Amino acid sequence: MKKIPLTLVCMIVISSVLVACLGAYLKYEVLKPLDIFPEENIMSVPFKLLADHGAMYTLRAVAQEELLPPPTEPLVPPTQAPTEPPTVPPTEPPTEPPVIEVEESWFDDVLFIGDSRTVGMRDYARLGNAEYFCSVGMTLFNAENTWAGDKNFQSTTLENLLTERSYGKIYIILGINDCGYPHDTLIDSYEDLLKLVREKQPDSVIILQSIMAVSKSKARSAWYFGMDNINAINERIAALADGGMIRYVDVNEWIANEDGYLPNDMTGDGCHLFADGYQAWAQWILDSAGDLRIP
Amino acid sequence: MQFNSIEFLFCFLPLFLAVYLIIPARLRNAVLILGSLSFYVLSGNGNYWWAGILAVSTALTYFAGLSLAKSGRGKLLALYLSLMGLLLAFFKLYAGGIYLPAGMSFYLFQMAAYLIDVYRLKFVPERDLLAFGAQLTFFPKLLSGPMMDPRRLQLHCRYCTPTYEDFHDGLQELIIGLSLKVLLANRLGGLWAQPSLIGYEHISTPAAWLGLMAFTMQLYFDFYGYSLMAMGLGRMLGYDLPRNFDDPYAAGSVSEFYRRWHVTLGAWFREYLYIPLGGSRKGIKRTILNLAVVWLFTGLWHGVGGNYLLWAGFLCLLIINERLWLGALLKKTHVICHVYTVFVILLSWIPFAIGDWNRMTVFVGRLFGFCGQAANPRDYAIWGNDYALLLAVGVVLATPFPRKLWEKIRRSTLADVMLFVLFWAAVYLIATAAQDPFLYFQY
Repeated sequence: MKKIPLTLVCMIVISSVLVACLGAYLKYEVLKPLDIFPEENIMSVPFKLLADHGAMYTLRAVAQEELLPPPTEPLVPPTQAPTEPPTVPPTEPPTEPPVIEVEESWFDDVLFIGDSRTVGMRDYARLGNAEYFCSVGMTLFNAENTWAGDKNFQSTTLENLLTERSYGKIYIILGINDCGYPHDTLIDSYEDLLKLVREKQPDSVIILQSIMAVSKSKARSAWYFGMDNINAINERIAALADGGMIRYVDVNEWIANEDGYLPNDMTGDGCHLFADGYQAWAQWILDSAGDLRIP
Repeated sequence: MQFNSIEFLFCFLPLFLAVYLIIPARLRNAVLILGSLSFYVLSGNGNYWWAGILAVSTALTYFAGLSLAKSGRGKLLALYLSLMGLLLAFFKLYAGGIYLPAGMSFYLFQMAAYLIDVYRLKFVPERDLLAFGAQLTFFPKLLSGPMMDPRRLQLHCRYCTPTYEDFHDGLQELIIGLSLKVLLANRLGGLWAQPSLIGYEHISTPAAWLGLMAFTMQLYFDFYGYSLMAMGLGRMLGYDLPRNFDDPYAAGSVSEFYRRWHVTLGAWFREYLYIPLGGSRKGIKRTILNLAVVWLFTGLWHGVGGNYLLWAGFLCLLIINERLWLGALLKKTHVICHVYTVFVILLSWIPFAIGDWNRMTVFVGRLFGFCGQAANPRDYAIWGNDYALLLAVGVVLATPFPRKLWEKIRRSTLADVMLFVLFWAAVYLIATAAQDPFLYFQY
């Protein structure tokens, strides 16, 4: 009988021990002070970390702070007085333009950035010649590392897309995949994303959409889907808008039922819409675009 | 606790193996029973009484076997079998089956087969309670089979020492099964989820077929993968569990498909229901009646819902048709018989996949394009694009060729390296797909 090599058994045993050691080190030394994955078993931790852009984002932020040289002399106090309020909000338009009648061609210079719900809109309810940079599972944390393509452009990153093409209006519809994270971290990453978009497209109006509600049963399935949590995040998102070049629209004013949830007859899994739901959503975006008073 | 969980792979299994392989051989049966009962307790989400029912029914079967052997007492056998039937019916019907202890249909059928064979004087009942208990509660096959031929089960009661070859080959099977389930079946499940997310009435006809294909493959690789894991685990401990899937999609008729699909369940129904009813020896009318009875019970075994009866009824009609007319014709063809089989088997899974009658009719309507309208007539191209690789791999793996190729290379280093990569890829998906507030990929 041919002798059976020890390769497989040895490889599995040794690699398992190594992964366990790495996991234990990450869990107890690196991630514990940050309160990341406190409940996870050590075998899962390395893999979770690899896949979790939010945790990586926090880790990178911590590492960057540590890398900064420690101040050798007292820091110069900031020159502007922080308490002085600006007399006039700088971005507020001086006079409010009238509500305009919006047709589908209004969307010809629009880019939608979003997760699987936007993928649904892209596949079942395109608006005019709008373009869609969206991907299933996109989060605020991984938006900048996500590759996506649409009918007018090959798979690319958001940064490349915004460098190569220009848009008059950019909708951002993200956040449902991030709602389990601390709100401060989440809003930080939202601000990073806005900074990127603004830097590449200084003249476009950015429209932030609230996180769309989930159904009642979905909301009960996990604390982070609860309406209290989602509404609290939406308030923070709304605060990112300035009424000028960054706007906020609340989709839940339209879609949510009287209890604030996504109606059951619009969804199969409590989160995604049926095809006609995407069409209705797109129609709502079209109908409400006039209120934005953007030509 | 499922085989494809981090807890099982990296906690329960290594601990159990370490104890099992180190302790003296005479203690192994006791360790097996303890291990299997702990496995069952851990699988029960706090339903500790599951293990109690398993232990009590195992002990009862042991003593019933001994008492039946003294003389062929038919009434006693009938009593035991009715008890088991009542127990199963109680749990299956009570509150729609949600209290049914995991694996109960499997182990009660196993026990019934054992008692019937003892009554038929096919072998002397097992006297070693520990060995008997270890085999009946054997954790690799506890939750979803394979069910054992009682004679084989009894042979296993004679003590086994696993060799290194067993261990290595078992580990290989375990990893192949794990990969099929996690890397293939679970991900194809993502494609099958699409039609219901977008609404059956809104999908195009090609997309409906694509979805049905995905469900068909998901079901096969899920159960096939699970069965391979069970076989692999058994082998690692020194026991040969029977094969549950014998390339069913290579079958040339529905009858043949069900001789190759969930082989051990089919064998049970043949041995303990179909043949005792007279099988095919009592004329064609009686054969048809017997087939109908067998399929009625097969349907009920899978669930008490009307959809399972519809599934079983449809298959039963196909099989009767093959027996009366079509079978002879099919045998004359080489390609058409396979096309026919795959086509009708695909259709037969519809009631299995969609329990709700209204939704099922809408789906069938889209499948044949006679109701509703596609919201995006090119939706199938989007899904096809996303899942092309998985579907292609699935189709290839549903043929007998990969297994043949595997047998040639399984002892090579290349095979080991391949399995090593598959193992960690599967672990990655298991670790990251868990329900967790910090990670949920699906949106």
